[in-house]
Amino acid sequence: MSPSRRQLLRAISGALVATPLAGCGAWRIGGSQPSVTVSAARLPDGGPGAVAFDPHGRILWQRRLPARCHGGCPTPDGAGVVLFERRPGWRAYVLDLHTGESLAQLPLAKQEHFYGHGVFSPAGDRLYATVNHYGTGTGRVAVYDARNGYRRLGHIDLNGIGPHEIVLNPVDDTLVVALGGIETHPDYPRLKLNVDTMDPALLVIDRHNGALIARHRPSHHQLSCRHLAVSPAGRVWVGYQYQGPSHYQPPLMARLAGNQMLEVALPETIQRGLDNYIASVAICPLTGQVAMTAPRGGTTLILDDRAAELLRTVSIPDCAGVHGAPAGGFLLTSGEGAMVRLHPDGRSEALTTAPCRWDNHLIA
Amino acid sequence: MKHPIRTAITAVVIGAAACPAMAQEPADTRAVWHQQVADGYAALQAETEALVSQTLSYCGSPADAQRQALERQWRQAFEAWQAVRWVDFGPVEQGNRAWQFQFWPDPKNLIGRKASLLLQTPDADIGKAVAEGGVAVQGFPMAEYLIFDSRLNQGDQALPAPATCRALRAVAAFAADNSAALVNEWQVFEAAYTANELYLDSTVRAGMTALDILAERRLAAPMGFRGNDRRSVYLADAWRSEYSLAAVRASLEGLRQQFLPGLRQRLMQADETALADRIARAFDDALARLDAMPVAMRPLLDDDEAFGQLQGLYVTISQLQQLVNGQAATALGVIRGFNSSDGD
Repeated sequence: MSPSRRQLLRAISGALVATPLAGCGAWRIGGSQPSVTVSAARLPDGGPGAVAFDPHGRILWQRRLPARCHGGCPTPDGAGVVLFERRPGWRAYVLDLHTGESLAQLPLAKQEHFYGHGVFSPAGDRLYATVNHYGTGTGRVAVYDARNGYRRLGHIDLNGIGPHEIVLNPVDDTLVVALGGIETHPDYPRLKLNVDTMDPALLVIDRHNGALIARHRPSHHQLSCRHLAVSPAGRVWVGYQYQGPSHYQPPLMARLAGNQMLEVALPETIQRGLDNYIASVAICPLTGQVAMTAPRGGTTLILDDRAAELLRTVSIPDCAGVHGAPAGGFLLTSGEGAMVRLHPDGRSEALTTAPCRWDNHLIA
Repeated sequence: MKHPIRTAITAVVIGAAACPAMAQEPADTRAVWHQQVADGYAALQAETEALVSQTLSYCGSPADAQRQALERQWRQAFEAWQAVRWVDFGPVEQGNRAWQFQFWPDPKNLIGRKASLLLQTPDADIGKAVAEGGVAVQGFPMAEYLIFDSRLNQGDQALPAPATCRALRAVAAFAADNSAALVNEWQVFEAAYTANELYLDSTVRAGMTALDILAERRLAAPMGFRGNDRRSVYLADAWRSEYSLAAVRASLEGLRQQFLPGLRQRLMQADETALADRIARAFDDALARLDAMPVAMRPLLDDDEAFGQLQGLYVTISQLQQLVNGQAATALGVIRGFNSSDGD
């Protein structure tokens, strides 16, 4: 880390004057529909990789990668995409958006691995990525200088375990982090070390000084806050993955309203079919509708943001990746290769079925 | 050695197969599965309690015959666990219970490192040390280390050294308590299990996952079929007790006794009786192969000619895997998605 607090603060926040360019979770203001979407995928040969496609679902390129990836974000200049390996992620790539060529790789500090998500600052000069310092089991937000070869600048300590998705609230310039609360170690990556003592939360962080602004805890300590989305208007929704007994049905989602996190209960018949697991969250920038995918139940939920009410459900086996289309509605992908457009009026339009298995998230 | 204790385990499980839920058509398939697993958990409880008793007996009067009985009892209890290991839902999901029973795989030999600490723990603290020491100290692999590890057995701390006796007693007691809790919580779970239709498919998926683990991680990995092409018994489970293939057999037998009846019922409801029969025959074939093989894997890995037996077993189990995970899953519409089965 830089030698003085002043330098440190400048390093983690980058330019102090925000410009309305897009990072992950923020939309291109007044822009057209993004022409290229990227997703981690299992390729037709069974190996891990990344695939890019156009708004009609036509594959533009695919690239084989050494390990399965998870989420990421487009670079603010619109020329690239950052893709993170899945937990325990040892690598994160900056890929050329139009060719898939690797432009850069993000360094990690000692005893760290990525959790699979990151977000740019509004000016595009900083990249923030969630990481685990497995030496101490503590979660961090790693900070990179996006304009100088993704040099590692330092990190923000989260005073918590298992940070997963991170977004930038474009309204107040804060970082919002879904803290899963689950401690893991890369030697035994699927072993959850602390299910009895989990302390998940939704964290709001001042990215300029690393200060914790708010820590919102879910109603049960085993409700792992994992994925979230923020709208252009700064509305934040979070999806949970419940780690307790599978026959209990706690709330699986919440929204931030002012200084409160309000959980949203679903009708029992719907909730029962979700298997206590939300994979991805997206908000349509045009309608404000919220989409949550539940692959274990093969169900996608569409909610009204303002009323916090369920509008409809869509059944798509193994649905996971979703993002809000600037033209309205959502683009959705599944582990079976399906690509579906969900229109704002409720129509579902199957675009194509690709010969690959789409992974958890869409990056556009 | 050729599966000396199979008769006892089979007797327990065959008794379970004759449960009332099986006899009544059309019983809810979940009721069938629930009863079979309940019997499997009851057997696990009985065998882990017997392991505690046998530890006390041997440590109280350490004669050769008692030592052999202790080794036999560990194997018997481990087989009871293997039989129910396929169940990955319900109370076993909670608190890392499956890991507590069997911390595996262990690529960094955490068992060995944790054992050294456990053997330095005074008597007054040993129960707490096991309860709070994490999953590596709480189950069968740690008990296996204390009984069978060749290096430990050559030193001063070999059983019946007091430190090793008290550690084994505490580990066995923890597994027995865990088994008793499973038995009770599985009964409580019955209402939720039979009420939620999602469990119809997730139970099938549990059997599918168990077959995948069996074929790919418990066989293909030590056989060198995954990755670096090098054979290594240390990638198998139960290598210290030289019981890897017996454990495979116990898992297959558990699937046949506990999982297959409910699967057969679902397949028959879907007019797939012929497929159900083929799956039953595939289980028989795989078990028959194992009957003709040693209980340890190492001799078959070390000898190229004998390795052919393992290859034959792998092919047979792969065929079973294809029938269940491919054909039966398709016939029943059970989807095990890329994201739904392994998300993040």
